[in-house]
Amino acid sequence: MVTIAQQAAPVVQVSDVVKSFVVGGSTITILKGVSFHVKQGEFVSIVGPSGNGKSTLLNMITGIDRPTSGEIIVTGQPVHKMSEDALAGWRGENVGIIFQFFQMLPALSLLQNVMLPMDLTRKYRGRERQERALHLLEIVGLAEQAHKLPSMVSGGQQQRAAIARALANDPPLLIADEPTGNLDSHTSHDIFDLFTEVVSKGKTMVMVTHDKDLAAHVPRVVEVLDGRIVRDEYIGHPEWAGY
Amino acid sequence: MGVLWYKVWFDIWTYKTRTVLAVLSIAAGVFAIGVVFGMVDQLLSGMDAAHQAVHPSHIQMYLNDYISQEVVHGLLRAPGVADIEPFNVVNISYRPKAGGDLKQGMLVLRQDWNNQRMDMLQLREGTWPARNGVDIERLSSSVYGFDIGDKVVFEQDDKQRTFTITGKVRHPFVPPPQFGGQAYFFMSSSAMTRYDVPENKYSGLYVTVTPYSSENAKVVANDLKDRLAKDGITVGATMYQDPSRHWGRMYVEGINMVMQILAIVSLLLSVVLVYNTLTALITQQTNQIGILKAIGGRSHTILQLYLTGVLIYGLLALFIALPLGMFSAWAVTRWFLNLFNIDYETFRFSNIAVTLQVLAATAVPLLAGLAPVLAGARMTVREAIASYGIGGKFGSNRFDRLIEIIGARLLPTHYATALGNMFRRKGRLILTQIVLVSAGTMFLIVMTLGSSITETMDNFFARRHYDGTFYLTGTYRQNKVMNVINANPTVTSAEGVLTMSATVLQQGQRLKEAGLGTEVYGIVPGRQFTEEPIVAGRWLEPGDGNVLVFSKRGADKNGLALGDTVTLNLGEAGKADFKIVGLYQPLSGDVGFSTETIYTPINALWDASKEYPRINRVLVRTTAHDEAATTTTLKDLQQGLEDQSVKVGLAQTEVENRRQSEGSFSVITSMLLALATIVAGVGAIGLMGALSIAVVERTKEIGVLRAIGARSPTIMGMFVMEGMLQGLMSWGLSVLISLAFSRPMSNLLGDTIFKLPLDYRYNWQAVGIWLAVILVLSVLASIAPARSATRISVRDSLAYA
Repeated sequence: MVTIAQQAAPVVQVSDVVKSFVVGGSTITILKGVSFHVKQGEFVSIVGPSGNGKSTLLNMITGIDRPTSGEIIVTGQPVHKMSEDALAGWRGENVGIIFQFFQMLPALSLLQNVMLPMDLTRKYRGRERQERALHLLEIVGLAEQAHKLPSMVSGGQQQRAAIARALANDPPLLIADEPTGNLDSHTSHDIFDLFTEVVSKGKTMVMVTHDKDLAAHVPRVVEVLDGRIVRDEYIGHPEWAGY
Repeated sequence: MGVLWYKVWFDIWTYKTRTVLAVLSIAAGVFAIGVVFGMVDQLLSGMDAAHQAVHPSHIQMYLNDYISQEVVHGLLRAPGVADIEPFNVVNISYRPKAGGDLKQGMLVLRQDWNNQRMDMLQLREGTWPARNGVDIERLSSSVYGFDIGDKVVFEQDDKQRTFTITGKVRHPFVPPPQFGGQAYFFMSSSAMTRYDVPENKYSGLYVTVTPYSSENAKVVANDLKDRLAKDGITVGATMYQDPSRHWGRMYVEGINMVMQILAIVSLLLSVVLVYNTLTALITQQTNQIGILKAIGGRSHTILQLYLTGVLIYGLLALFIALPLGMFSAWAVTRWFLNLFNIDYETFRFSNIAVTLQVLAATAVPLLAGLAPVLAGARMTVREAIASYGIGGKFGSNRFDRLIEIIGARLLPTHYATALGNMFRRKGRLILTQIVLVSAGTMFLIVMTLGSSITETMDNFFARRHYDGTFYLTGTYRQNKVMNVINANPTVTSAEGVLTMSATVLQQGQRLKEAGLGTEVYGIVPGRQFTEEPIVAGRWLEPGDGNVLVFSKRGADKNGLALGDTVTLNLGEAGKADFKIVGLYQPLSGDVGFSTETIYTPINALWDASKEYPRINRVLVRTTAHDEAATTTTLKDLQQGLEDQSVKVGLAQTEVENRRQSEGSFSVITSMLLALATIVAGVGAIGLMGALSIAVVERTKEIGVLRAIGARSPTIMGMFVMEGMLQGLMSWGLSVLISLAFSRPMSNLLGDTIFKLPLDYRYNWQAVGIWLAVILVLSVLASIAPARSATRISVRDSLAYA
């Protein structure tokens, strides 16, 4: 059986990426020639110990950081070559980011936080934005909390709202950096279920996590150790092997 | 409202302290601009408008004899003369309403009160003076307490006459009483005959010329002098005035430049504050900027977002500062113009000042905010989310390590942290210090200007070695007067002086700027009751003959130099040649009301005037020098003199004399001090802003400190200590800078404002005062940020990163 994912073009192509930092006069290389790709509809979990380059790799994919060398093509765009401003516009339409600390704007209600990416890209019309934001909050189970400020809801609810915000512009790629790192296990599983649902609808998802239990449920696991990919396997999905 | 605009509103509304801080920072500068530029614009235009409204004459001539109306008609036919209106003015002694000693005043007569054509006196209350009544100048009325219906006693040549005050009149050319002006009264022509003024005859002429120019006015005046001379009439003095410019302009123009500089400094300081405040805002919201960029916000969106916030701060500041500035400018203008006897009761504002205020509140903050906002907009998502922005690198150089060593040796650990923290953000430290040091330096320079004025007066009065002066009505034999004076046991010594009005002639020609009140002062050389500061040549010495010591100002204006010989024309008393042996610096500035005093040995004056050995003034030195004791002595002496038929016109203590001199300076120094206070306020706001940013930046650090056991007083103490250290540092720098610059500034200000080189004295007392002020301001400015630091929990602070 050939799946949709197997047929689609890669959404993320990371080729021979090196990332070095200069700290206190000496150079530390965090990523040492990393290459991998993610196809549309894949759900990838990047795992590994702290300080080994997982978040740096994720930042390369979102254009938050730039590689010292190598190429990164995401949704067909050469992210490593784009200007900051072009990256911002591209991210708004193509990438939904979910942060560990939710990163909701404290001044805005959950509804406004979800509307914000649509306001920035103007992808939808005014009234449509609010309707869509409400719909997304309904999907993540927060319709009744829509008008509350982030400080008035729990961490789990904030992360659900962050997922709704990531989906606001209907991006093909979702990136999550330790999305459950600040949540209890019950809430973590709820969030994970949401991700699974999103992927089932054709989105591509790349997630960094420390949670081995959670990673075990992700179809593909990429393990980063000492700046290199030491494992890239499809757990329980042998039909994905080789991609 | 879009979500982004909601965020702008939310930031402004939710972070009220920051909003208030930003708005006040801008408002302080905008207010200073509004007050100063509004005042300057309205003062000059108000003065000139009031001046032009009274149809000012171009020439005022004071004759040595009375002339008839026919002579006036004859002069009207002289070429270039547009109009002539005669008047009379005589000196008079009057008894103050509260009783006590006689005071000197001026009695004015106009040809026809209801048909004045120039230098118009304006009736403000009551009626024009009739035969048994006098009117009083309204400024004299308010200062000396006379009202309509009150009786006033005039005394001349031993004759006392009582008049009822029937009206209040505005005289446009009355010097402010605070500046040493006299009381002015107005009398009818028939009533004036009692004072030896012949009816329908005049000794003063107001003249207008056509076409007007200052040169033409002088040509016409010389022609009139020649015509009068043919009738045997000499002119005592001629004064010229610009019909479009008020005579008080010189007071205002001098201080204008200084005020405008201070206003611009205030605005620049508020720009620094706006920059600091916006840096704080960007620092606080760096994380949010990162999120905005992560979810699609472009640089121009960030720019638009924050610059809109800045514009709203500016508009809020304008809302506060515009009406406040407009009202204050009008109120100060009204006060100042009232001082110059000009009505300014209807509220008015300056269009120029309003335009400058609008620009200062909108364009200036936008420009000031552009740099931090651009820095925020350019920040990458990684920088924004991972850090607080452009980080400090404290500890990376020798200076930092020196600070750390000093802190470690001299202060407890947490206060040493405060010292190190101060130097972590050197750019902001410099900006905050600029604000505080500017405020401190301005305060110290203004205070030094005040102390230099005091020093100048101290030196001036120190050269007057006497405690009181008797102005006698007429001349008396020296022995007769001095016998009474020397008989009093509280008098240690006394000197008789003869003063006479004179016209100074050089090579037979009258000096062009001899002025109305040229007074020759005959003293005894060597007694040193009076000694002026000599700037060229020497002071009078025993054995001197016909020599003069001239004021430098008078000599400069007339092209006179040491060694020149001039003729003193004492009128009927005679004339004689004198040689100039010294030039002195007078205390009073060249401000229009001063008289030129010329010193000569009394023997020479007696010889020239044949008044040997008569005096009309007595300088008295007493055992006690305080005002109460001196006043008592002068009263006793006056009684003794009057018992001997020696009439005293005025008895004045030196303390009173000094008080009058100080009055003319205090108006200006008070205004300068008020502006320095505004700058100090701006400085305090700046410090508060800088410390608020520090709290935001160190949120995580505060959390760590709390996690390891730091309690609220410790956290609060750290920030208050940092504020105090900043204050102390700025104080030290202010003292150093003011020491370097206050002498040239004092000279410049003295020359610009008072037309007088001041004797410099640095105000060390002000150094102490500023230390106290800056420490109090620092503590007050630190409290709000320090309190907000104590409210940060470990969980919040560590989660913040």
